[in-house]
Amino acid sequence: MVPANAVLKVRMTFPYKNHLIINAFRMSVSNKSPDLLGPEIDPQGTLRDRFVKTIHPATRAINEQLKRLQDQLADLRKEIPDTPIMRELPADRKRETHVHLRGNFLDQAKEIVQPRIPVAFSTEHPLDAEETEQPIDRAAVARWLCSDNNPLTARVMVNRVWARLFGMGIVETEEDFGSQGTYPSHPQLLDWLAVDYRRNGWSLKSLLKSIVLSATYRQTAAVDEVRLRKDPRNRWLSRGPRFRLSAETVRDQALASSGLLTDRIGGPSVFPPQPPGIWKSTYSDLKWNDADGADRYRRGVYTFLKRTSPHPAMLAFDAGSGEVCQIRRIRTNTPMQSLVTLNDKAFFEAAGALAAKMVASSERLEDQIIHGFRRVLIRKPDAAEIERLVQLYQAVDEDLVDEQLLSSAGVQQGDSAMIAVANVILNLDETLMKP
Amino acid sequence: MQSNPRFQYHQAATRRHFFQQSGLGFGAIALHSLLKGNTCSAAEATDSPSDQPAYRMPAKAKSVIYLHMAGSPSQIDLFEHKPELTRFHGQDCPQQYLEGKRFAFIKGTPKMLGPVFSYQQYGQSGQWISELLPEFANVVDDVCVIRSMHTDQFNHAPAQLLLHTGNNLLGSPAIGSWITYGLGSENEDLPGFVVLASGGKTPSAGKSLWGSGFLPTLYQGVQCRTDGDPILYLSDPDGMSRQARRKTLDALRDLNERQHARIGDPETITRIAQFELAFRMQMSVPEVMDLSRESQQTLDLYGAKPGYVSQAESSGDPRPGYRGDDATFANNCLLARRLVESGVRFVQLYDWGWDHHGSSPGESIDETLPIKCRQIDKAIAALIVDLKQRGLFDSTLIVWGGEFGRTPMMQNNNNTELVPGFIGRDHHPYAFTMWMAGAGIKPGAHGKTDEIGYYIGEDPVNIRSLQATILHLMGLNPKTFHYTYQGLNQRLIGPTDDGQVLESILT
Repeated sequence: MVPANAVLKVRMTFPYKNHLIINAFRMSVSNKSPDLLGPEIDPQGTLRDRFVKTIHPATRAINEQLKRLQDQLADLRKEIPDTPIMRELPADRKRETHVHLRGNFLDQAKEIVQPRIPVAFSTEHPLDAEETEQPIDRAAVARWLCSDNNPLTARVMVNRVWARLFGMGIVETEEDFGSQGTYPSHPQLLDWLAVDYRRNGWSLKSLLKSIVLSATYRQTAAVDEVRLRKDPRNRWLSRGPRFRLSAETVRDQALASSGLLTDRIGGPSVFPPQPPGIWKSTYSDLKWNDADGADRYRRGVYTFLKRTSPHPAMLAFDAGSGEVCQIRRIRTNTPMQSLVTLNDKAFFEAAGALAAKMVASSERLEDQIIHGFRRVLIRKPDAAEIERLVQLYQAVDEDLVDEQLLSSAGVQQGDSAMIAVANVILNLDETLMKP
Repeated sequence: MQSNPRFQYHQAATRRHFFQQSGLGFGAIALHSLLKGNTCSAAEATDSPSDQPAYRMPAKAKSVIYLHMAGSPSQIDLFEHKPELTRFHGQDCPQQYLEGKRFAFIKGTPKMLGPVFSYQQYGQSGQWISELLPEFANVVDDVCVIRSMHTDQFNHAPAQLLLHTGNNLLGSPAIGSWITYGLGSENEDLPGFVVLASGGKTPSAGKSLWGSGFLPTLYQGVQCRTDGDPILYLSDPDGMSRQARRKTLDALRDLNERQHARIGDPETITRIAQFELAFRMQMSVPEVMDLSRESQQTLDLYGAKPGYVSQAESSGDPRPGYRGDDATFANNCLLARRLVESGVRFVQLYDWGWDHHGSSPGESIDETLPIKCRQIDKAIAALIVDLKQRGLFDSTLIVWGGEFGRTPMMQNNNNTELVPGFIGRDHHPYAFTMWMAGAGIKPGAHGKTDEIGYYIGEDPVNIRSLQATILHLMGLNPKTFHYTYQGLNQRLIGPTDDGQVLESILT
């Protein structure tokens, strides 16, 4: 509202080149309610709209509130991640697919192929759609994948779960059940598990339960010379599983047992410390800035993965770079791994945190060591183990530079000899291996 | 500990257990030699003659030093003396060279660009070498210049991947990984495949160029750095002295041995050995990386400077900072010799900054190419001289080159006229120059291009043949050496017969 006797100044700007000046226009002033701004003055309703939104006090306040809420809603919507959904192309836009000669995608044969399941599968277990003459599309393949006709899906899945638990699948080449793969060590067991899995409505939980509660899984991993000779790779399951943890769990375990782990689920990837100067990529200004606070200690799966420069600690423990699909990681045992668990910041800061927990647990040195052992290995050390670590605790102190060591372990104050002891506990073979 | 018979028994058992567990067939034998670091070949390591891997052949080379100029240097201004191109300089490029072609940047009709620098003939062989490589020109009689290389990739990352992994897509093992997988290492305290980078950036394709792809990660290249830890995680945390580390490792070993007594898993013994190897590497790697152990004479020969850290290494964009006196590449050449001397199989150098399009400062033929050449010329010549002096030239294969060539036309996306400091050439996959020297290589020249250096005139060499030749010299049959993955017998040279050993350049 313009107060009485106010001076109205109208300034007109023409943001055009000089040959585009408006040369005939009309200007009106009114003291009537904006409701009376009729269509002949404001045909688009824009003046009225602006008046309502920005000038008229009562409607302005409501509008501002509305805008705030709308912004809030938009922010909330942004938090929901997008889920890309694959859709079948309409029939007239379907892609022509050619045979790739010798697997070379640049060398295509003239012949166009139609969607079908490879003959090797479909002679024994045909696509349902083929029999019913329905369109063979993604949905048909999806139905075929888990139809009773097709035992392969359940076998493959069961085998992968088995491999995660035992370190090796019943079919060792998890990625290849074909002619180039290895034979199953226990074919009947594989089939029984597969059928049972399907019968239980594809319940992973019941599958896991039946495996981990089995007598086979619960055997001790200890082995004597005879069994080592007769079953060196535990192919015949003569003992319980024992193998090194995966790259991610090596990290997660150190963080969890020392109490550092941030157990938040989901969200964008994080940048835990890595040695400086790793990311020197061409054509990219992305920088790796070591995370502080909670994001420093997230689970390994949340570590940012750039294919051309993966996190070096992950790479050392056989995690792939993500360049190709990797169904099975071949485990190696290298000095690079030793250097990571001894010296990487994540592991040394875990040692710092574990040592602090050990010191706080008791007045007695022996009990402190027992506490650390139990946190990491979930068992009490025997007398000799305690004695060896007590001995280390007493002997190592003179060779440590306290202030520097505490800073390396990411703590303000603490017992540096205990950090060295914690570093040892976190590097034990028993720590890095399952069980 | 080494003399403890029980330990030795288990160690032997461990090895066998380990190769079997990894399920790698013959590669496992190589793994054995890599792990144990002994000098025996894969064939010797097997139990019976029938186990001899079919891919092993007598080797001429024991190790490789591969010098890759990332970005691709201009062959027209370094190796290709083309008076005819000079004659066409400044004229429009004839349409016949442009029809049906795709370039990375060139659009429309570019002008021809004659060699920017002058040429002279050198040595007994009378090879034409540009004024930018005066020191290299002195050793040209020791190398075989291949002027007829070609590739089918014209962007950096895929071309680099094709060259180093045999596949323009990500995910295949590098040549160095293949070779360490096939042959193992000769030094138990050092990795078998070492990568050294200079120029301030990693090559466009990143660390995938020394990744192990579908081979076990054990065979990935280990980047040794001249700034910070020479190998990642090598240094103990600050405040942990050498003695303290020894004491913690002693306790760790004692506890691990108790664990082994309880469980009996041979893998535990392997782990004990790996911790000990890690401890030895903490000594051996800084030692081999320490250039101050070299005589002043040797340092001067290469132009190396111990302890030198280039500004280019820390700046976000190193190009404007290029100076002729940057010693990183020279240091890396000298390190390469030290590594080879210590038994490292494959030393891969990458020098970034050779992509001279002329479209921005620090990447032109007229200003930047001479600077980059000054950084490498002396060091490369020194490497050849030094290897010869030490009797290593006959057992070391040296390879030099980029991932493709550069056009005989100027790049015209920014300038259509020649502006000093902005003279550049685009990517050219149809013809480029590489050279090889050392073990098994007959010095001379191979192949020719046409009069203006656009197409190959004689004896074309594709990437696969270069790879086949390297494997062949290392004693690996490129056709039978494979690794089974995804149902295929994967080979470095791919599934086709394109890769042929270049017999005519071999001694």
